[in-house]
Amino acid sequence: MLKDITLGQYFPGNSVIHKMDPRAKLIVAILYIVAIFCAQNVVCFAALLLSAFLLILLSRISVITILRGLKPIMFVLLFTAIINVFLTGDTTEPPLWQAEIPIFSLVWRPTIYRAGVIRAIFTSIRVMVLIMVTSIFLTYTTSPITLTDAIEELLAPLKLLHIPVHDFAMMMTIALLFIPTLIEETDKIMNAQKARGADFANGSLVKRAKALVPVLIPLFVSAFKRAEDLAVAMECRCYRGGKGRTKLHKLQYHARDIVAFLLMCAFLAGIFVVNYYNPLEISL
Amino acid sequence: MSEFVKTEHLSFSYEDEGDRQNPALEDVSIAVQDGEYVAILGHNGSGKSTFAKLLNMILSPDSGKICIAGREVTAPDFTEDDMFDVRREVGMVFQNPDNQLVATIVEEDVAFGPENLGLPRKELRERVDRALSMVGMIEYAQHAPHRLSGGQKQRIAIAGIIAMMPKCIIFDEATAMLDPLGRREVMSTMDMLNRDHHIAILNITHYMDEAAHADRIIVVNDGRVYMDGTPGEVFSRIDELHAIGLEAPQTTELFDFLRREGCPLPAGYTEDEACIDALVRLYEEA
Amino acid sequence: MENILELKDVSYVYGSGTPFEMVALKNVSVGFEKGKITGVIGHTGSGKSTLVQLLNGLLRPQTGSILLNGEDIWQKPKEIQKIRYRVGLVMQYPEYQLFDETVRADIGYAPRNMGLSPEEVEARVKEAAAFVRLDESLLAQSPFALSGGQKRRAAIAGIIAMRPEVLVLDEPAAGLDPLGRSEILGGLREYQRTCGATVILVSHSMEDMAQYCDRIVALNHAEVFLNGTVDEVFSRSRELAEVGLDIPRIARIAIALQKRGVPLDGNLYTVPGVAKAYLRAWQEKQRRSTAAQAGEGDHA
Repeated sequence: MLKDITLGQYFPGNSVIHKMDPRAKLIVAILYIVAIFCAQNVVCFAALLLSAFLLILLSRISVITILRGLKPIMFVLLFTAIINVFLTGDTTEPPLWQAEIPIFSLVWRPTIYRAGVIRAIFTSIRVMVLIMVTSIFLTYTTSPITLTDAIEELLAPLKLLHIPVHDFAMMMTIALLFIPTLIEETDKIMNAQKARGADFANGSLVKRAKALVPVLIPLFVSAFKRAEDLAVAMECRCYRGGKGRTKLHKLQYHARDIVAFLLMCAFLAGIFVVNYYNPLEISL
Repeated sequence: MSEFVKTEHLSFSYEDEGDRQNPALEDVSIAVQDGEYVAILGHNGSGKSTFAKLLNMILSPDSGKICIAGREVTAPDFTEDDMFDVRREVGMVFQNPDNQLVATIVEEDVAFGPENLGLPRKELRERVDRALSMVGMIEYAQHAPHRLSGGQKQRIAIAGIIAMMPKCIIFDEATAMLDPLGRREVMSTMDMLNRDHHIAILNITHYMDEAAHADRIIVVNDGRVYMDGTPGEVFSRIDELHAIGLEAPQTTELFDFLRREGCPLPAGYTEDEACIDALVRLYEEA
Repeated sequence: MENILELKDVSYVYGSGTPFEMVALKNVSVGFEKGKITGVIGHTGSGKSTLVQLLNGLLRPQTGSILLNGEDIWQKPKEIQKIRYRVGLVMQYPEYQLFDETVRADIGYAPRNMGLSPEEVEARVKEAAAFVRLDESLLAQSPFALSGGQKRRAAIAGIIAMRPEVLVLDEPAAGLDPLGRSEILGGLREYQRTCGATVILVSHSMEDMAQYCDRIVALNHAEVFLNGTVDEVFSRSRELAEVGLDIPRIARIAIALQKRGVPLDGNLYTVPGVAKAYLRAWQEKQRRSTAAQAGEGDHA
């Protein structure tokens, strides 16, 4: 059912990563992404995997949950791995394996080189670590609203250029706030129309699209009504944009945020150093 | 005593497709004193929701005057900044609890109004905590509002208004979407605010039992003030209420029925206990 | 009496196996009498909304079965839509389901889905509009131009137009004023009497329940707590109060009067009922005291 879709997949908790300032998390996540893309050799990739595993432990989110989060990208991962294996050619080396298919071989002979295998493994690790770490820092341990606050704060300098940062952040907050409500409402309206004989599951694509009209119209009507109500309620509570507003909770950096930032800088520097020396001499 | 909300000869009409004027309010003059508890009673379409929209300045009247907290909000030189000042003195609680909450954490929602007023953080903290304790929701400060019951959500909306420390709160059908438990929660909060904190209450409703909580009931029908008096006075005119599609509380209806059958009972009772006492006495004296 | 709709040992659990697991109904067995208006009461979260969605096959029971005229409605899952036409469900705040260009087209949506001829659809639309007391002149208007109460009635007409054998309504009068409430509930009673239909009404308003229902089923914590005629159920006010359910205000007054020695009997949950009972008691007492005075006079 629609209700089962949880947006952002935030898991409330009390771990060190949960407690970090969302701005720090964003910055650290960006640094980590840079590290992922700079990694060139086997030691770097081992370090990435190890650090990702450490972060999972620190966040106290179950490994199963995180692996489940990777399921939707499994297909993409497999596909890129196959492409990499077969299409990376380094003809200076003898191939590891070559296909012998009669007639077809005249056109193309699938060949696997050592470099292709390495590239496939490295890219897969890159994508996996990227997804795992961004979700640990951003979606799993940070509520969407806090994240919006962080983006607003980090983009605050843009206000000098007359970019309405506050208004964008407010819009995002309200959108996030209303998503669960609208999902619930869609469910309700679909049930009401099913009770009147609407069939959303059978028939041709055109027929199914048409069956959605009785759901979409009421949904839009109610969404506009809600928007209007909310706007009035906000005005009645003296809202007039970001001007002169104070905040109950001011985001504050703590020692752990600075430590996390410094560690991440060190990690990034380490990746650069290892790239330069390439200890085991297995690299891209 | 000073008049906190006052309207003079207020008229408003909606224009329909054919440019015809459909009068929604005609010549409405009412006054709510500082600290008074008033119910505005009327059936759906009587003009009471238009009245609420005029009071919170979403609509402006065709003619007539509205004064709130001593300022004439219908004056031509009334500015946005004046509006801001008036709104911090008169809070509004609306019908649908889901459509007036703006944050995903209870205390942040309560803080929204005071934040807009630009108060320092220390005072924000104090006001939020005080408002949440007043409505009995302090232990829910860190909860997500959408997981709470309708009555609890509405109490949070009330806390969000109290935190702005207004002198008057207007409830626009604030209990219409609640179950009986939620309605009782909101009604007792309303009573408490008026009794213990001298906040003037204007409750716009069609529930008789709620109107009976007020010091004064203004009955609106067809855009006009139809009756204005204490609950006792209003409910004693039971035939006139029936004529405009309203009911009196069951106790009043019971007394009315019995009087017509010749029982010597007074008119206008609304309290259960008083009603039971009168009936027992009458029976014992027979 | 014959039961048209029957739940046998039905259970329903939301989010089974997750931290959000919630038991909505637990081994519920209850029958709904044919041709009667049955009220379903229970506070928020007692399983009422789940119950109504099970009755017309929007939800499928996880255990147990639901019988319509003795037949399991899930016998042929592919034909569940036919059951939904026979057991009409009006959801809470049904005005949210209005979507078509005119009120006529909107009320005709379900009959069109049933594959009826245009003439038959038109006849059903008019009939349904009449039951909910919706003026025929409104049929050509946009449903979004109607007033709140009219929208609600148009939405209910959209279900009545299917001519369901059983009509299930979840809080059909919520938020309406006394006039709007009596128009809708009165219309439903008329539908039940004229068409011999069975009506199942979920409501929080005990006053409405007392006035319009024949029987009452009270739910508490996912189980059937009381099931009987209105008299039987409201006479057990103390038990109802213990589980946090209301009884009509007038019934509370009647019970207080009885406790203080006023002998009342008969229907004690509507205003006319209590008034008549009180009058009988009062007149009887007057008669006795005059007789007693006359008797004393004889002795002297």
